Amino acid sequence: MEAIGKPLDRVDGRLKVTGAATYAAEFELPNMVHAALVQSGIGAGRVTSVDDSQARRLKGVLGVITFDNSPKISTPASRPASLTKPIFGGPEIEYNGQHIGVVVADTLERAFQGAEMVRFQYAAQKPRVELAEFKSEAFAPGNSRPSSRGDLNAGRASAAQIVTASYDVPTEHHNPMEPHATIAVWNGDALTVYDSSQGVEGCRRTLADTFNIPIENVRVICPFVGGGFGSKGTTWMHVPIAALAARTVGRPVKLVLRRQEMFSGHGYRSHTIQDMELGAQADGTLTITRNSTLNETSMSDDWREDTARMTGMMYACPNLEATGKIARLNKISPTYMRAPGEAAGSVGLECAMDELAAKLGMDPIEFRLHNDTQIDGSNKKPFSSRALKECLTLGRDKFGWSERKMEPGTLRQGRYLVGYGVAGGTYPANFRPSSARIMLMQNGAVLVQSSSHDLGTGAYTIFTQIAAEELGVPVDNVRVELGDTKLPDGVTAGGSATSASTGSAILNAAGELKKRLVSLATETKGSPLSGMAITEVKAENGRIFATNNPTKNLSYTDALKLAGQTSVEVTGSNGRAQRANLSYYSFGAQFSKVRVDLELGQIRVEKMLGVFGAGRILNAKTARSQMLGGMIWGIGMALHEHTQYDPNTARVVTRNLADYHIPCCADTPEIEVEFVPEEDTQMSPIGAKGIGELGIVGAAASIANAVYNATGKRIREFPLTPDKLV
Amino acid sequence: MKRFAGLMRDHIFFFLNGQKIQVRGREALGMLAPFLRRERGLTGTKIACAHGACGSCSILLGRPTQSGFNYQPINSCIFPVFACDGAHVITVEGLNGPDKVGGQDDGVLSPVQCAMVDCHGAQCGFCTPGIVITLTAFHENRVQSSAEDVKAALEGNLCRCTGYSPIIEAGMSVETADLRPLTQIYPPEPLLDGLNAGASDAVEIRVPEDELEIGQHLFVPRSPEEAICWKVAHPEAIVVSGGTEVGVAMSVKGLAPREILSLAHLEDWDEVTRENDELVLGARATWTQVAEQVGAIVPEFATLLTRWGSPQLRNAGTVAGNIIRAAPISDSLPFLLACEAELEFIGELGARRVTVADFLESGPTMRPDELLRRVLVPLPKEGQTLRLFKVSKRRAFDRSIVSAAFLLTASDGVIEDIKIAFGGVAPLALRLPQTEAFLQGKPVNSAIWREAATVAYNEISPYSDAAASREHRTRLVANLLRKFGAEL
Ligand SMILES: Cc1cc2nc3c(=O)[nH]c(=O)nc-3n(C[C@H](O)[C@H](O)[C@H](O)COP(=O)(O)OP(=O)(O)OC[C@H]3O[C@@H](n4cnc5c(N)ncnc54)[C@H](O)[C@@H]3O)c2cc1C
Ligand code: FES
Ligand code: FES
Repeated sequence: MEAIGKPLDRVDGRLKVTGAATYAAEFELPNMVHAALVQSGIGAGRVTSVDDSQARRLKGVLGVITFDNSPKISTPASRPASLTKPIFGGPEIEYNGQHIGVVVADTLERAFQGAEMVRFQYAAQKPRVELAEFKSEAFAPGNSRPSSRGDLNAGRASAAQIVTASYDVPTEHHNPMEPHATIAVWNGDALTVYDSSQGVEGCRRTLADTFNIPIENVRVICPFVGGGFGSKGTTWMHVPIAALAARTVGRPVKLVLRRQEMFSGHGYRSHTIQDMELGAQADGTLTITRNSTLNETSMSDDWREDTARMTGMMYACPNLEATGKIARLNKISPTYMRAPGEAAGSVGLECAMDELAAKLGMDPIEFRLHNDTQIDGSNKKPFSSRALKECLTLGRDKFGWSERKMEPGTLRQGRYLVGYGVAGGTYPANFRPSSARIMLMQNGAVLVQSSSHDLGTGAYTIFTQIAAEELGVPVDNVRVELGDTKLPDGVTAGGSATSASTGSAILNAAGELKKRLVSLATETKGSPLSGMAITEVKAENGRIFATNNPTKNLSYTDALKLAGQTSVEVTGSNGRAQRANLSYYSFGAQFSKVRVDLELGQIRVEKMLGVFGAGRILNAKTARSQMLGGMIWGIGMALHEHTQYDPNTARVVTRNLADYHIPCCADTPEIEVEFVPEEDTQMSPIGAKGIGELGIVGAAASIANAVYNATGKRIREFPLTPDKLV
Repeated sequence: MKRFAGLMRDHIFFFLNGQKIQVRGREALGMLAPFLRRERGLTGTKIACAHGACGSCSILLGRPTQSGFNYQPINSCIFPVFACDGAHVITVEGLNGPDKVGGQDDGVLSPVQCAMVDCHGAQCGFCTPGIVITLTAFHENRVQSSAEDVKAALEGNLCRCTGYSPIIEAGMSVETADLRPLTQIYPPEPLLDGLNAGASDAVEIRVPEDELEIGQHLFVPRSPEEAICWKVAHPEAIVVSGGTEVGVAMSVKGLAPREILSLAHLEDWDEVTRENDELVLGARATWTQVAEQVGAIVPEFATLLTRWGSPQLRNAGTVAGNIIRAAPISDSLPFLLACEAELEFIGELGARRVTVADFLESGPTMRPDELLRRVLVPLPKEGQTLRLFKVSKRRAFDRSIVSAAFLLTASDGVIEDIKIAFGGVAPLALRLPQTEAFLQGKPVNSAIWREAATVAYNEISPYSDAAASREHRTRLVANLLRKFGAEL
C-alpha cells in the first residue's frame, strides 16, 4: 500500500467547504463575554492620565483593565521574543496602536463602546518612523550572524564588472484571512485557551510563565488556523490580555482582533535596505559579494532580518561579506513572515545577480549555473542535497526562455512591452524535535495525535498518508488529531518544519507500533505466530506474518482480539537530529514573464513557473498548492504589498484590506509548479525537506528582473507600483 | 399630505436558509454577518475584514422576482440586517437544502463543494465558504464557462493561501450536470407565500435610548411620498441605499446612526432604461443591474463597470450612493460629467433637476428634504467617441487612483468639441475646461495631445495619499490624455 506521494484529497476538505471547520473565535462557551482592546493613539511619548470612570459606568461593562490598574503579572523572559515586556504598554508608549487596556462587557458592541470611553491624556513626542532617517544610528545587534570570507579588496580588484546597488523592501503584513482570536476560560488555577495559533506548545509555556502557574494547568486548543504565515507563530499580547480579562471578570472571555488592530497587534516583515556589491570576472566567475543590510526593529527588541544567510551560501564566491545592522523605530517588533530572511534576502542577491549578468552580457541562467556549487561557502560543508542546477535547466526548457531578448525593452506585444526574468531561491531545511502518538484500535481504526498544526498546509492529510503507508492500512481508517496541548508535543508550524519533523515522528511511532504488534503476536497464546522469535516475524500491510512462511499470519486486529487488548498505542519522537557535517537547504528557481503598460505604469505578470528541489514530496496536491500560494505572495511583494505609516503619528494608514493590497484572483498568471525528483534521508527519516516558505523566495526578484528585461528600467524600491515606472 | 398610507411593521422578516425569521429591535439595525454568526450560530460565514474588501463573508441574497428569486453574492459584513427584509438569505450551511443546516457529515456535498475538495481549492479554509458561495451563484443557470469568466466571478474573494489557481480549477471543473438549481433546492412558491403577508407594509423600528446607549430609529418606506415625508420630519437621518458606504462606516468605524431612512423598498426606483437619447439610471439601480443593461447602449461604460469594486459590491452598491457620496474616486462621476448628465432630486416641493457639474460645484449639497431619484445621461451621439479609463494599483477589486472620461466630437480631422473629466485629482471629480478650450478647433494629431497634456498638467493640482503621490497623479493625467489620443 503506497499512500505517500499520492495526491490524496484533503481529509479536512469537507469541513472547510461546508463551513463546519471550527476556528478559534467560533467556540461557544457558557457565560462567555467579550473584550475590546484599548490602543494608544500616539506613536511615542507618555500617557499622562487615564480616566476610565465613564467606561466603568456603561451598562454591561464588567471590567476595565489598563496598564494603570492592571494586576501584577510576570513578564516571561524573552520567550517568545514578542513578549519581552509587560502585556500592556504605558505609561511609556512605544508605538501607535500599542495595547494599553482592555474592556470586557456582556456584548461586543458594549465592549467597543466602553473601549472608546476610556480617556487618555498624552504627552506625545515625534515618533521615529522612516528607516532611512536613522541609518546613522544603526547598530549590529548582539545576535547578529555575519558571514565573511576571503578578501573583499582582492575580489574587487579581480572583477571585470561590479554592480553596486541598494534594494529596498518595505514593511509588509501577513494578513492571514482569519484574524487573531483568543477565548480564555479559567477553572480555579487552570487555564484553557482557544487560540488562533501556529504553536500551541509555545503559547502554553508563555501563559504558564505569565500567570505563574504550572504548565500542566494550561491547555491550548487550536484545531484549525485560518492562515498564519508567521504572524501566529509567537504569542502576542492579546493572548495573555484575554486570559487576564477572563481571570478578572471570572467568566470566559473572547477577544478577536479587528483587521485594523492586526497592523499593530502583531509583528510584520521588517523593512530592509540592502546595499549590495557584486563583482565577477569576464567569464562570469563571482569574485566579490557584499551585502550590508539595514532593517527596522522596535524600541526594545533586536529583530534582525537575516539576509546574510542566503547571501553567504547561495553561490560560490571566495570573497564575501554579509552583515546586518538594525535601527529602532516606534513600531511593534517585527517577526517571522513567510520565508523570513530569504524572502527579502533573495531580492537583494537575485536582483544584483541579474544586474551583473546584464553588465557581463551573460544570460542570467548561465551566470547562475556558472556560480553553482555543492559546498556551502559560509561553513564549508557540503549540502545534504542541492538541485539548483536541475531547477534552472528544467525551468529554462519548460518556460520558453528562448523567447527572451538579451537587449531590454526590445520585445513588444501591441502597445505593451514584454520581458522575462529568473531568480534562484533557497530556504533552510529545518528539522526540529517533535513527537506523536499512534493508537490502533481493535476495530482497525488508527488515531494519530500530535500538538502540531495544520495551517492549511495539508498536515492533516499528509500525516494520514504517512501513518497509513507505514502501517499498511487504508487511509480511510486513519484519523489525525492536531492542535491541542493535551496531545504529544509537536513542533510549532513555522520554518517549514512540520512535515519533516512531525511526519518523521509519526513514521517512527508507526514503526514502533508494528514492533509492538509483532511482540504481541509472538507472545499471545493461540496466535499462529505464538512462540516465534520476533526477528522471524514482520508486520506489513495490515498483517503480521512469519518471514519465512507468510501463510502463517494474522491481521493486526486479530492480534489485538486474541491478546484481549482493546488497543495498542505508541508515542514516538522524530529521533536523530540532522548530522552536523552537512548543510541543509531546499532550492528553487523562479521564472516570470511580464507585460508592461509604460503609459500607465501597470505591470501584469502573465506567466510564472517555479521549479523546486524540496526533498520527497509527501502529497503532490498539497505541495503544489503550497508553492502556488508562495509564488503569488511573490507577486504581492513585487507589485503591491506595502504597509505605509503616517510620519507624524506612526499610525498605519493602510490598515485594512482595501488599502493593503494582497494579490487578488485577477492577479493570477498562467502559473505552474514543477518538482525535481529528490529524496533527502540525510535531512529527515521521511526524506522530506519542507516547502511552505520556499515558494516565495526569488519570486519577487524574478518579476523585477522581468520588468527590467521588458523596459530597461531597474526599479530597486519595492513594490514596483505604477508611479515608479511612469 | 396623508403621511403613511399602508400598514406599519415594527420588525422585519426574511427567509434564512429556507426558514422564516423575524428580527426586531437593535438586532435589525446591525450588520448581517455578525448577526448570522452570533445570533444564528451560522459561523460558516467568516468575517475577515469587516470592510467589504475580501468576500469572506459572502452570502447569497435572493431578491424576489416575478418568477422566483434572483440569488447574488453580497458581502454580509457591510450589509444591514434590515435590508434583508422580504428576501431569502442562503449561507454556506444552507447550500444543500434546509434540512442540511447544522450538520453536513452525511455525505451531501454540492458539485461546487466537491470540486473545491477535489482541486484542493481550500488550504486554511477561511476564505472557502465565501468562495463556495460565489461559485454557486456563478454556476446557477450557466452551461459553459471559461477560465476568464470564473476569474472575473471570483474577483471579490481574496484568498491568502492558495494562489487562486486551485480555486479557478475548481470553478472550471464543477460537474454542471449534477448541479441542482437553488430554485429546486428551495422551491420559490412557499417562500414567496411566506413573504406575502405584510409584504407591502412600511417598517418602522424604534430602539429607545437607555442609559448610555443611544436611541435608534429606522424607517423603511413603501412609497416616495412616505420617504419624503419622513425625511422632512427627520432631516438628519442617514439615507441607506445599497449600504456599501454606510455599511463600512457602521461596521468599521462604529457609526450608530440615530435615524436611518432605508430606500430598500422603493422597488421601482431601480430602472435602467433608454428614453430617446437619454440613459436613465434609477437611484436604487445596483451597478450589476446597470452593467447588465448598458452593454448594448454604452458599451464603454459597461466595460468600466467590470473594474468597479467587486461583484459582491456591484450587487449591493447603487447609483445614488456613488453620486451622493461623491468621493474623489467615485467611478461614475467622470463619465457623468463628460456626458453632462443631470440629477433629478425629489423633495417636499416636487422634482428638481441639476447638472452633475453644478451639484458637485455646490459642495456637493442637497436640501434636507430631498432624495436623489434618478440620473439622466445624454447618450453619446453618432460620430462622438467616448473613452473611460480607470487606473488602480491592483488590477482588480481596487479603488481608482485616477479615473478619466473623454467625449470627443471631431470631423475632418478637426476637434469640434471635447469634454474631459477626471476623478482622483481633486477632492471632487471635475472637468478640465482650459484643456478642453485649448483642444477645440485643433487638428487631431499626436502632437496636439502632447501639448494638451501640458495644458492639463498646469490646470490640475492633485493631492497625495497612501494610494498615490500628487506627482504621480499629475503625470497620470498627462499620460491618459496622450493615451486617449494615441488610441483614437
Ligand atoms: C471595498 C470597497 C470598494 C469600492 N470600490 C469602488 C470602486 O471601485 N468604484 C467606486 O466608484 N466606488 C467604490 N466603492 C464605493 C461604493 O461602493 C459606491 O460608492 C456605491 O455606489 C455606494 O452606493 P450604496 O448604495 O452602497 O451607498 P450607501 O452606502 O447606501 O449610501 C452612500 C451615501 O449616499 C447617500 N444616499 C444614498 N442614496 C441616496 C438617495 N437616493 N438620495 C440621497 N442620498 C442618498 C447616503 O446617505 C450615503 O451618504 C467601494 C466601496 C468599498 C467598501
Ligand atoms: S469580511 Fe471582508 S468583505 Fe466582509
Ligand atoms: S485557503 Fe486560506 S485564505 Fe483561502
